[in-house]
Amino acid sequence: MLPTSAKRKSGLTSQLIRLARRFLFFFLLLGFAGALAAPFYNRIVGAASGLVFRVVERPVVTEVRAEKGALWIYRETERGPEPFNYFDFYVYFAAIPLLALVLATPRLPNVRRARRAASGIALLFVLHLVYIVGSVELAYVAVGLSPVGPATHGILDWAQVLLRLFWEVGPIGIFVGLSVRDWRTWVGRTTSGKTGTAGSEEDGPLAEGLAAG
Amino acid sequence: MSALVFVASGATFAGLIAWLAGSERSLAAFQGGIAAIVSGILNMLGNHTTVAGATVRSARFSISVITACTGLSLTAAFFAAVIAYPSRLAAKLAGIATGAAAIFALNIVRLVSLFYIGVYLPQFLEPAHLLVWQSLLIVFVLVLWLFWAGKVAHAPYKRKA
Repeated sequence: MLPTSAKRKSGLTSQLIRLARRFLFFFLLLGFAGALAAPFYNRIVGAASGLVFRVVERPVVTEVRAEKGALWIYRETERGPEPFNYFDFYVYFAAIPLLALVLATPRLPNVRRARRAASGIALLFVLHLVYIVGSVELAYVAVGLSPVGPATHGILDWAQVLLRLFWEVGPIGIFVGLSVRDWRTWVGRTTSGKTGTAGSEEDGPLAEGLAAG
Repeated sequence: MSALVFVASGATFAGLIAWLAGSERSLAAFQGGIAAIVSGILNMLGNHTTVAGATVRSARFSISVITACTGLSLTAAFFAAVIAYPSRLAAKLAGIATGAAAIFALNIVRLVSLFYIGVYLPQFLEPAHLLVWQSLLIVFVLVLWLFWAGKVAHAPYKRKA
């Protein structure tokens, strides 16, 4: 027997509330853990971005120094390296909501959850590298330290906003991308009106509520 | 959901925001409008604020509504997800309208709360601004989309037993 629409809807709502509630719990937990892990993560990002600067710059003028939770960008000048910019701990904020979302997703086997968390952090790490290196290089152009043609200068504002959007919205894309198969299964079941069996993995992350609701 | 459509529509909206931001004056009115609404709410709550451009000023604390504070990027991500999701045009339009209003409203709540945090708990302003509210907006957009997908988008496909 198919569930009624009302039952399905109430199941959906309760599952989303459950997702939000669990998210808040893990978010608070990770918020405290994140403060401890930030210096370590910052050192890794600092080392990796230093390598990326060596690849993208000719000559290499940027030096990255990780100091506690902040990443300092130094630029080589005639007087030696001088501070140019810095990124504080909050540039990595997305790691916390992303992990909280993965942990909060209901009905996910632990192995898959761990794999997703690892993949998410790895993708976010790449996103952070792109954001930091991109921001610095665009800032060089903006203040006239990297000479470019007028055409390139004309799209500078665009590039800066797009990079900012990429940084801000990237975590959503990563999370959706990692869980798209589950959502697709869930959406398929919802649209076709199938109930499925609560507890089966193929029901997707929200299926428990749909079936039990 | 078609990943290709999601990426394409996301890129289109991102380009649109970048174009608006790049032309400087285009977003100024929108930012000023947000500042005026925030100031109006704060004044209704007994504060004495004024608006100068996109800045809400008071004797105790001031906030500036910059491009990143408009919530446009998350709105664009939501629009892209709604457009990419297989559903009727009417459901998409309903999702876009409702989602834009909901994200806009939450963003106003965010700005008002940040003003109060800045006044009464300034030591928590940075984490509240850059960590807590950013994260809450992300999960809000996600839950909003799932809610829309489950409640509205599948409605045309409902079958009777």
